[in-house]
Amino acid sequence: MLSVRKLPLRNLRGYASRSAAIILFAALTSAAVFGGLLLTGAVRGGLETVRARLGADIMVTPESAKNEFDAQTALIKAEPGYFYMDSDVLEQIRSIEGVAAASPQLFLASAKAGCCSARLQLIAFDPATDFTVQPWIADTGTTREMGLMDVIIGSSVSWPSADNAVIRFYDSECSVIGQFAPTGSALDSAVYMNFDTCRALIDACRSMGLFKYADFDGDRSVSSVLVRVKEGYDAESVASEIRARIGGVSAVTAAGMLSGIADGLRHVSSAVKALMLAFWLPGLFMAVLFFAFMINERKKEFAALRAMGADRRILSRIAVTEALAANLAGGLIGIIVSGVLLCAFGGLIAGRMNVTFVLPPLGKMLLTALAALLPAVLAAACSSLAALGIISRTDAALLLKEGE
Amino acid sequence: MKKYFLTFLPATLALLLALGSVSVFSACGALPDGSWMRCRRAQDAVTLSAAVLTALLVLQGLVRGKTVRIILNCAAVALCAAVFLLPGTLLPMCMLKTHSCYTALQPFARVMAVLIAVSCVPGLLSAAKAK
Repeated sequence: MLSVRKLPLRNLRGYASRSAAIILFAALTSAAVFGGLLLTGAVRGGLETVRARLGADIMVTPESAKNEFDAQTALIKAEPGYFYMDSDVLEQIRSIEGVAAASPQLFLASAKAGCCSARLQLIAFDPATDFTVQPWIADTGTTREMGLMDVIIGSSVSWPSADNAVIRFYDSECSVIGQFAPTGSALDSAVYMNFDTCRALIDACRSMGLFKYADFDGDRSVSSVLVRVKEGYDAESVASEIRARIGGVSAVTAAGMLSGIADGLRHVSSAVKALMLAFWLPGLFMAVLFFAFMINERKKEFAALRAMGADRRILSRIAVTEALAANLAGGLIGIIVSGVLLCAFGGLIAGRMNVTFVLPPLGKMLLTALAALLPAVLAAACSSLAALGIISRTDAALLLKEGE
Repeated sequence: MKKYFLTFLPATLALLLALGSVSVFSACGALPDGSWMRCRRAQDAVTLSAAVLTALLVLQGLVRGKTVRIILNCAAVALCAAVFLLPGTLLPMCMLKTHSCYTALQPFARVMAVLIAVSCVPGLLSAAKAK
């Protein structure tokens, strides 16, 4: 039996093409809003994760490595490389005022893997002085201490033999003892180890004739020095002091390294704002317009309902329920579609846009989805207002007489 | 019109999967020495499966026999499950998850496999209800 409760949904089904148009516009609006908010949140999440993972205020590298190491892009699309400077630099840096801690790192790039064109950045840290890698090792869930030929891999590295957790570099087997959580940056494509492992791999690389530095001395070389600045000191001033006092080095602050990602975030934010406006306003307008057309076309139907005893409150309830149902259905469809696409193709989008990308946790995503439903609710409210205006102006008796 | 749309939607999606897997959403390219990266096998398998899916789903739209339609739809759903698992689970891919086999082929194959499987359900139900 037909009831007032079932009537709105039957009406929507009865005017299928107009209802579909309303649902489509609501879906586009919500998809643009949800997709935009999620994309911006994911890029911002990447920036924050990288900032936390970087852990150092200044990174010192040899000046001669300019061609291989661009501080601004290193965290987004670094091409694996290796360069060295004398380890005396470490003591010189420690003696500079404002330096709280300094820890060396040693780099090597893997040869192309047999499976593909992948080359990995191998990064060795000094467990005795390190303050940037070790704080994150606990998060990998490993309880094993890093020994000779043990490595921890970034989240983007998929090691070939998952069964025995072994990865090969220069014909040397390394045991994978853990994997870092994703940062959405080039750090995810790196492999971390201690100095002894790195020196062993450099020897293996050299014996294969692939190492490009003939006069390399493993005991007296470092690739970079990470610096933590004392509280109250300005990182940029300390970096300037390092550059002035130590010849042949380049010192870049964390802010400088993150500037490439921050620029990406700015570009994404402005593009997303423009996209949201471009979809939201016309979408809202069209959804309201289609609903108003639909209600206007059904004036006689509402007049007949009045004649059967339905008061204005019942007619309003029918119109409001129809508007809410169509717009919320469209909103939900838009959110699901844009959510699935962003979750599935996030890596592709980040790669094309040169930005870091880390999806927010599920709870935050659900809150964002709720926020993205607001435009649909607003469209429903505007549509209802328009419908109520049409219904209140309708003279049922006059309309029914016209039909006789 | 609506009936034809629902009948041939799965076949159209399967065709899109086959075309997408060799164009916009393809796996990694060739190495400088001309050899293919390991993920190429996954791409070939996805394309071949999608072509078979297209044929199965076109056929299920044309045949009238209830049992044959049910069998064809069930086979298509099973093949969709295989397509979902092929890149990265059943067949190995590259070493870095930033490569296009992970960022383009795998998500595309998985999203399309789910869509095709879901779009097969109305056909399966109507075949089961048919006298």
